[in-house]
Amino acid sequence: MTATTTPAHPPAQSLVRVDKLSRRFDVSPPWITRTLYRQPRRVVRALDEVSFAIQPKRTLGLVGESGCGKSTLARCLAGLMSPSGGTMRYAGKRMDLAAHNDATVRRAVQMVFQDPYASLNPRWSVEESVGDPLRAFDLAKDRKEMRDMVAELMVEVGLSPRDAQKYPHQFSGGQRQRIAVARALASRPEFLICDEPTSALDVSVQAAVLNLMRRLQEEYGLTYLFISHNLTVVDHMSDDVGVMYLGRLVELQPTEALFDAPRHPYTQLLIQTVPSLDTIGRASAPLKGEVPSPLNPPSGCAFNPRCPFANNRCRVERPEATALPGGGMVACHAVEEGRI
Amino acid sequence: MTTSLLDIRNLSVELAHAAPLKVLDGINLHLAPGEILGVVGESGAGKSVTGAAVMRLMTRPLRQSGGEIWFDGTRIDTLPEAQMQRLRGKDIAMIFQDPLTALNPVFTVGQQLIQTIRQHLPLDQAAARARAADLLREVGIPSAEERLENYPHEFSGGMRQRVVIALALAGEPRLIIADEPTTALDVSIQAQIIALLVELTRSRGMSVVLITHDMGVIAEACDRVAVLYAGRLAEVGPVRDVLTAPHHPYTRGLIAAIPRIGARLKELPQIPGTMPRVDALPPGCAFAARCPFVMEHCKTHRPDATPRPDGVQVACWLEEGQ
Repeated sequence: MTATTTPAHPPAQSLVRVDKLSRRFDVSPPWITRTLYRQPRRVVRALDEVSFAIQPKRTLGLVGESGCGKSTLARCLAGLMSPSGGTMRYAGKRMDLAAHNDATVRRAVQMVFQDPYASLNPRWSVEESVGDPLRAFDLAKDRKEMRDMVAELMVEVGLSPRDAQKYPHQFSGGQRQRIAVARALASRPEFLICDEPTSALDVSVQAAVLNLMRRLQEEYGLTYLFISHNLTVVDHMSDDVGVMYLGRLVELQPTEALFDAPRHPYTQLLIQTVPSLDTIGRASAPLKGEVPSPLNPPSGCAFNPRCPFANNRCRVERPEATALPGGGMVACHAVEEGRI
Repeated sequence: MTTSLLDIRNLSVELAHAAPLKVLDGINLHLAPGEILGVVGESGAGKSVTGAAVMRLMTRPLRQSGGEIWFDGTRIDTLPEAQMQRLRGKDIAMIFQDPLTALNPVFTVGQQLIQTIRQHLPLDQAAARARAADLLREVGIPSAEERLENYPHEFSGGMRQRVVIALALAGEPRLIIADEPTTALDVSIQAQIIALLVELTRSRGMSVVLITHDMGVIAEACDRVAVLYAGRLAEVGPVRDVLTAPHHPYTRGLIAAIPRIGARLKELPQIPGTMPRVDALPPGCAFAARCPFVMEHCKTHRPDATPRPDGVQVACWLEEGQ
């Protein structure tokens, strides 16, 4: 059985549904080099047949290390990049670059980026940045109404309406991220893609931004895709959590199940190595090995070189998703065979 | 204290300005041989400046405006630059956050290691080369001998940080200042590097000042921790005491704000407001404006770090029963 659905939730209810989504990047050397030195084309599979569904008003967290395809997935969903294969559906409708030209989908799907220093135009006042979606979707009938709406959004994210006249450099990192959230909210979206929204922030500021995002979710009934490399943050924010490794989704479970009883050996490793306040004086004996290069992924299961449970089958055959009894999936031969 | 390897006494650092701004204000820290001291705080709290001051790597407009830095019984903040340069990289080494910028991209790892080793130790080329390979093995790089011929870009992020650590070990230092050594790395690699640092500290009897913003890293690696706030010391003490029973309201707020796995809080406790800017420090306690226990006295009088019976020092008027 494949995990084209999250079995716990009937697919009809999902707001966002992704089926076997893939994205390949051609990283070949220039053709002249290839011809002269007889080098082959090279392709990176940044995203490899990833499937999941998100129910309305819920949060799907995605964790994984650099290069695992988290951000590629976010960009495909936000319509900033076209997938090479598979389908994305939003409220049952096909969503691809063409659909992103459809203003209703574009308005409904917004994104908050990691670096608030890079995601705001430094030469635009906050009012211009936050007001831009209002203008683009004709949500304000005149300039005065736009100003009022921007002022309202500023208050909503915990800033003062007067701040709208200022420029990004006049704000701290946390305040800038609030502005980025205000801009994402301006078009009254239903689905917010958050790519490492607090990774650039200090813990005390992070707490405030996470609380804000939670409150807004309740207030506006938002659905989140919450991407982070920080497991504690994902645990705090998500209803379900997916774990990615080298472009594949290796495990997807309801948050509590995933953290209480992780099934995939990689998930177990990740949870073990989270630096935690409860492990005082015990630098955890970490698993050896590193994330392999996506340019040259191992055959079979991509995790096999680091996996303590790997056998011959794992080295040649790629594991497919197995549905878990409590809902969710895991892609691991060892789990499927009952070895772990 | 005579047993300290590093003793920072009342250190102040200023940002030269029409009215000089205090970036660090009266920091007292000491470090015993073989100890790992964590320095934690938010961006701009003065963590990195503390490390740079010990190494005397500060450039204008930053300058030390007061206090003393003692290393192994010698006062080093007044040493002539030539002598300081001999100390730097030899007895006191530094590890930076980004391993890609800490290594020279146009030389092989072997060339950089051998040059550093010969700078500090009286070894010939062949002996230095053997030493370089030993160091790479010690930091856990497989096939060390061949890897000497590789350039920094041929290593992964985690391996590159291991090379940087090997480079820091080249002069047989007794003190390493590690400024956010794992911030640029992935979680599973971060755990490896922290474990390596702890292991090296134990096996070599070195001391480490570990500067980080990550309380989790502090918990796992450090013996003692110093919490900085707005250029001042808020709390310092053994890790277990500070993390499990923090005394300073800032430390309490900071620890509460960290999400924990399985906590299932609806809302994270947050500290209202932001850290005051260096040009807008209040006359009293720097944390007064955000403190839930603030008293009138706090707004006008600055608390000094006072030792408690359990060995923790806390700079807070609540501790003094004011």
